[in-house]
Amino acid sequence: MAEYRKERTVKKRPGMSAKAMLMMSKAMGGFMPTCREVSQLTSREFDEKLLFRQRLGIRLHLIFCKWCRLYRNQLQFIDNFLRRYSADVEKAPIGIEISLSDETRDRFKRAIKDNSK
Amino acid sequence: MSEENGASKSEKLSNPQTWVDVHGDFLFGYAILRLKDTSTAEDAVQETFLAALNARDSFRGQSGERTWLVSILKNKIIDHFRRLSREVDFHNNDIDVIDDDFIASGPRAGTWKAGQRPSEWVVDAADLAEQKEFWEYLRKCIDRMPPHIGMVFILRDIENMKNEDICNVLTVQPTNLRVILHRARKRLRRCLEKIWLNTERSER
Repeated sequence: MAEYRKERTVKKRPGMSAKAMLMMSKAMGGFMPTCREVSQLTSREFDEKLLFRQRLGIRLHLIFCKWCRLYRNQLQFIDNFLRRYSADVEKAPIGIEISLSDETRDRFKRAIKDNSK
Repeated sequence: MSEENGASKSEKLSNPQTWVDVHGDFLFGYAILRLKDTSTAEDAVQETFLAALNARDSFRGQSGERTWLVSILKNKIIDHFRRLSREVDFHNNDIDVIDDDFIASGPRAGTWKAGQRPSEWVVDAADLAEQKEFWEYLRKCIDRMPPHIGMVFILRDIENMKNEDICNVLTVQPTNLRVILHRARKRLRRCLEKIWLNTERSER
C-alpha cells in the first residue's frame, strides 16, 4: 500500500506548461487528455476498463503533470483503504467506533425478546 | 475463513438474547458510517435483529454469525437508500459551476486552477491511529456531500456494489452515475485534504 511522506524540499515544478501540453497533444494526434479529462478517466478506471488509447493518454499525461499524479495516487490510496478494510467484516474496523446507549441496548433486547415467542 | 470476534464458531447461531451485547456496537458503527443520523442507524440495527430472528432457520453457517447479520444490515441500508432516492434529484447540475477545478478557456484550458491543485499528503496507512481517524473523517466528508452524491459514493466505493446494481436501486442512468461518482471522489479527496491531512499548499 502506498505511503505518503512529506517531501521537505518542495521543488518548484510546474504542472504542465501550455506549450508542453500542446506539443504532446499534437504528437498524440489530438488524443492527449487535459487535466480535466485525466481526472474524469481516473475515476472511470475504478468502474470500467478504459480503451487502450485512453490508458496511453493518461500515462503520457502523468509523465509531465505532477498535479494529476498526486490526484491519481490519492484517489487510489483512498480506494485501497476502503477495499482493504471492508473486505472482511469479521475482523476489520469497517465502521465508526461507537457504542449503543444503554437505553437503546435495552430497547433492542426487549424487541428481540418480544419477537422470540 | 471466519476468524470470530467473540461469536461462537459453531454452525448454529448463538442465543438471540446475546446478539445485542456481542454484535450491537459493531452493527451500529457499521450503520452510522453509512446512514446519516443516529436514529436512522439505530432503526436499521433493530430491524436487522428482528429480520435475523425471523430468518434464523435459514442460517446455514457457511459464514460467521456476524457476517450473516452484516449482510442483513447491508440490505436494510440499500432499502433505505432506495426509498430516499425517490426524493432526491440525481440530475441536479447546479454544483457544476462552483465545482470546477479547471481553467475554462485560453491556452491552459483544462489544466488545474492554481488554488485547486492537489497537495502532498502526509499519511501512513499502516498506522492504526490513522486508520481509526480515517473512518471519522470519511463520515464527515460524506456529510458534506449533497445527498445524491453521498448515496452513490457509499454504495459504490464503501459497499462495493456494481454500477449496474446501483443504477437499478437508485434509478439512475449509467452515464449520470459515472458523473456523480467522479464528483464524489473529487469532493472526498479535497475534503480529506482540507480537514484531515491539512497540508499547507505547496504553491499558492
